[in-house]
Amino acid sequence: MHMQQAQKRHSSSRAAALNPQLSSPDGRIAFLVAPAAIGLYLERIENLPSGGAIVHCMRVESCDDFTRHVETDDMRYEYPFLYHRVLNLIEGLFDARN
Amino acid sequence: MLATELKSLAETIADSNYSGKVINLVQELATAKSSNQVLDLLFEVAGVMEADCAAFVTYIRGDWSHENFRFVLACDPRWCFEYQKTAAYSLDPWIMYASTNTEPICASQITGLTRAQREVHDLAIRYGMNSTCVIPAPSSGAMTRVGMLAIGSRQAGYFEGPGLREFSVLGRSLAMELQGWCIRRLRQELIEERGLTSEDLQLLAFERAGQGTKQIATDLGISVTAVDSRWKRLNQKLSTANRKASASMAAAYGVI
Repeated sequence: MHMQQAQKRHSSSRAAALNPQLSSPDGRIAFLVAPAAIGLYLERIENLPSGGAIVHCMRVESCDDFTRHVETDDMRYEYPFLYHRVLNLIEGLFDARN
Repeated sequence: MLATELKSLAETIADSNYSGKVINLVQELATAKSSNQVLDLLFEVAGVMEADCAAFVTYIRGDWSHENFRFVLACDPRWCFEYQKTAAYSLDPWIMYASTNTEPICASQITGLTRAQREVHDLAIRYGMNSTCVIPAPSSGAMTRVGMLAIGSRQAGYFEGPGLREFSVLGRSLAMELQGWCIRRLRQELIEERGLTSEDLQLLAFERAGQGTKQIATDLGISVTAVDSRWKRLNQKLSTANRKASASMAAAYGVI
């Protein structure tokens, strides 16, 4: 149990270090968005109540792509503002590139 | 998405440049500096392999109460989010296979599935993995972290035909390089974030080897009290309750 708590803290601190603006207020979900050779690199980190973490690394090639990617992600209902902020950031990065 | 021409696996790998192109990309993983680069390489190598999608996952074996998964997705991410809703990790037939085997296999050859496991399998098919090669990426005996690479084709029966043995050699190479990269990254993260020193790593390795305080004190030429003090500081750094938990955590992250 202590190990789980420690690993949760490890994951949470990492999520916060990525980009504090792109974390949910409770630290459960965090996103890292970075320019990539093709489109953008998107990392979604979910810190679990059990103490673990699930990290998804994916590619986003457009704003629509992001919307489509997360259409099966239930967390977007729990943290709509966070997902909106991520979408805004992605829009900004694509706009800056074009 | 990546495109598969309607060629059989045997025809695809018969191209004299096939292996060379794959290996050239796989070896770039050794020097990849970021997850970003690793994802790009996975997309690229899957394309060169003429697969439609690929997904790599690394996880801690045998502790389903503590889910700790990292997915690298050169595929439709909706598959993964939908998969996660089922909390299917502990019964995922591909992950179960990779946890206890080392040989690459066609997903269709993993038999004896329960109804829930068939649903996991069918979900992959719904997202384009009509035929999938499941490639385990085991770690050394001391480590609890395992990897699994799934390379998929929309073409039904693609991996079930001739050519799987040759393909597996390349697939294994890719899976092990991905696993190696993930382990290096996790190890680095833990060392940097927790400020672990070489003395800390030595202490963790002693514990993992089953050495008690007296033995450690003798080996290091310091007092028993000094060993206990070191352990206290180390456990604080790792936020663990005791040295056993510290060593387990270090092993899970590939630090020792």
